[in-house]
Amino acid sequence: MFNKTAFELSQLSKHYQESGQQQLIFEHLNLSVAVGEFIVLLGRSGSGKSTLLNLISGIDQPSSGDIWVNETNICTLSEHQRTLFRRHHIGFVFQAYNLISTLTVEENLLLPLELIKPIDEYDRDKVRDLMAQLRLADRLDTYPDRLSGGEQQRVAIARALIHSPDIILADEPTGNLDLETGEQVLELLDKLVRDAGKTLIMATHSHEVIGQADRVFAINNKVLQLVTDTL
Amino acid sequence: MSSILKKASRNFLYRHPWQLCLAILGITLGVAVVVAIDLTLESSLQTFTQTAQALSGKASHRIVASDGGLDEKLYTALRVEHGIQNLSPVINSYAVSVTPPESTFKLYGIDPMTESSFQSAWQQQEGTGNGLRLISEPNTVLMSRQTAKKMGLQIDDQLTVMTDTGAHDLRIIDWLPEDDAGASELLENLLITDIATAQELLGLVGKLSAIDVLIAPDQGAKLQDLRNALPADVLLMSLDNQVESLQQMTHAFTINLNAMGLLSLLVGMFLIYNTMTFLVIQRRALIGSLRSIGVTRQQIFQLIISEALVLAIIGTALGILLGIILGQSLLHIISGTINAFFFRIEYSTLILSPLQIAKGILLGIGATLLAVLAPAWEATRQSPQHALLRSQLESGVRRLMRSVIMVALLFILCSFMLILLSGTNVSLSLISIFLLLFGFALLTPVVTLLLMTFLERTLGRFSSIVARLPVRMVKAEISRTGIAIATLMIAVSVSIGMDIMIGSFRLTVSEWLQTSLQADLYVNLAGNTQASNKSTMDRRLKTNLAGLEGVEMLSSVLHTQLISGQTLTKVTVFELNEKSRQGFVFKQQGNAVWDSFSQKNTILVTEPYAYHHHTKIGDKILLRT
Repeated sequence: MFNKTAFELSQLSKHYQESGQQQLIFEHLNLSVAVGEFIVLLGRSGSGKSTLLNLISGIDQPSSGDIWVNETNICTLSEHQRTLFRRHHIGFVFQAYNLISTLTVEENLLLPLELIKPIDEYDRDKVRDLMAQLRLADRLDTYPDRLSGGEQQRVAIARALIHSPDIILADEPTGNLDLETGEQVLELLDKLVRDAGKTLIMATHSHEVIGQADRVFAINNKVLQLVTDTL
Repeated sequence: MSSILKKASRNFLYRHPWQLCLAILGITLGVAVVVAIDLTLESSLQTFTQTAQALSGKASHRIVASDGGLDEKLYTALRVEHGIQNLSPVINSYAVSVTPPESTFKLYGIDPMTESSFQSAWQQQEGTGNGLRLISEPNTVLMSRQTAKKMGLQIDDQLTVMTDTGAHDLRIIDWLPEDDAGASELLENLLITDIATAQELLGLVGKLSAIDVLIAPDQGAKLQDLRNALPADVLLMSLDNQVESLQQMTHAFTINLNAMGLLSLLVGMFLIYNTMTFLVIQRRALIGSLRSIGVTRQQIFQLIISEALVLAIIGTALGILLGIILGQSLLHIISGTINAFFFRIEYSTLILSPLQIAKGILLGIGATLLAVLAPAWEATRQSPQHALLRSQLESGVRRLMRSVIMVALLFILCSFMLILLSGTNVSLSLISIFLLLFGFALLTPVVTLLLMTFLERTLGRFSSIVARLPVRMVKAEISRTGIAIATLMIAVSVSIGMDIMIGSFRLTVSEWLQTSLQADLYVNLAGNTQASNKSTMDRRLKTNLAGLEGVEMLSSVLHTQLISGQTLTKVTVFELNEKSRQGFVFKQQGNAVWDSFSQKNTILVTEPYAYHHHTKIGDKILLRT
């Protein structure tokens, strides 16, 4: 079903220094994810799900191992190059939404585009279309703090998708939402990502999402284990 | 940079107006004090030189004598016997108007027929018409229209003035030309008359206050000829070097005031640093979000710096405006001090020069950018996931503590070494004080942490969790609380330091007055000491006073100026009774010094004189009389 590889993790390990002691998060992780695949990462709090997403996005650096994206090992890139990589190839959805509170909804969506190139009317139409799909067309001029949690997360999803990144990383996207809103957001995220043919990696506690994923992994005892595979 | 990115940052500031105002206030106050002091000092100096230039014209040198004045025969001898033509005799004194409103005039006697190349700007505008009238019509003067208007006088009106020789009626024959506002200030309360009239009015017949000389810089031989032709008790001063010597006179005074200005800028910088750090810390989540969507470190740095630049421009502009207003108020106080201690300034107008404004701009913007460098660097240093965690900053600050202690101790050590090495150098002393302040400011967060730990442990045994919370908060947010406490420490220490200094000065003055003022009555003999019969009249008065019933003893004092080296030195001549001697406090030899003083050709010097001229006991000083 999936042919091309979106990214590949090879012997990936991560540990932190804390109070002079080494804290191992996970080690020797190997994973190959195809373009368009929907991967769910399960695991308890502190198991390393968010750390893994941070490594894939280039926010953090692994202690050892490699991350290959489009034949580039992002672990060898400088901090500046990793930021530019993230700008072009990654869309991030956070549990706490992390929208820019001082910008309107429209500006929040235009910012990732403006970081890549000057904005034109096509970009503005793209924002309007996406917001219409999210049923938020009338909230373009609203500041994020005036939106409900569900609305904010829908805007965050739109922001992660607006610049057509290759990989969408979602870190507990429903963690701050009630069950019903959470289900709606997950459904929306799944639909938009699949429609756009993008790769989605979602870290979550929620088992409800398992049915929608192509593969489900869990980080247990510092190693990555395949839970289900629908492929 | 992305305009939306800029807007994200700008909107944050709009949402926190009080912090925005605080940052601008910090810059404004710092710049205002520095600009005000700078403008005031420079204006006082400029006023003096402009007045001198307005009256002396293009003169390059001035021949002066001690308080006895110059004999006018010297002028004739220089012109006729030595063939030196570019000379202009001057009488320079004061007269008080009897006609209400009473005011003091600077009475300036000139030779109206002096060569045109030698004349000052107002003389050239004036032409020769009025000059001839000043010579041919007795008791005639020129004055400024502005001064005359204040006194309600018209051309051909009489102005009665009082001098040592009594009351005199002077007739105004014309106005002095005033080409601009500056000139009208210079010419205010000035009476110009011809030299013979001035001599008669002041009782200085046969005397001159000075002779102005015009010699081009390349005519060294001519200058040497003139120097050779002058008697030993006459001094040839370069007017070009006058500004330099005035600057030297006021050097320590200027440095002290500038240091105060810089100190206020330093406190302002702490305020800016604190506010900007706070603004950055508050935006850590925002910065984290921006970083996670691909905003680079450079862009974040540019964002914070450009934000600070805008604040700096607003703050500096306001600071310069406030500095000018503050300078106007300070001008009278500072020019009063300069009048009292250094040289006489006739009027006080704030003179704005582009250089001083540029200095204010540079200081305001430079200081702001310097203060914001650390927060800007801090904002960009963290990776996005760390930027979302506040604890990371605090742990970073704590890691820095050891280095901070080392730097602080190094500053304090350097400060003590500089204090030992500085000797009489004011600049070095001030640098050492600044180093000491910086050193203690850097130690403040460490001391705060230690104190809070001690308090926490002490409170831990006896108090509730709520009571321990503030202590924990101070510790937990030491990156901000430490700086705030350091700022407060600097402000309080400077305030206490100034208070002690002023208190000590007052005490010294009070002690000096108590020991110095031993007499029951003091008689001030006003008047021009150059007047021909002044000395005889004063001696006669002293004899008469001594003969009065109830007068037990008398002491007399004469203040004069004598030539020593290439300068005029203030000399005070005493005839003291036993009781008056008790008012003197000697630095090294105690009261036994009076035995040596009673011998011929011995003098006492003041502590400042010894300090400035590196004079020791036993040294010889040549005074020309």
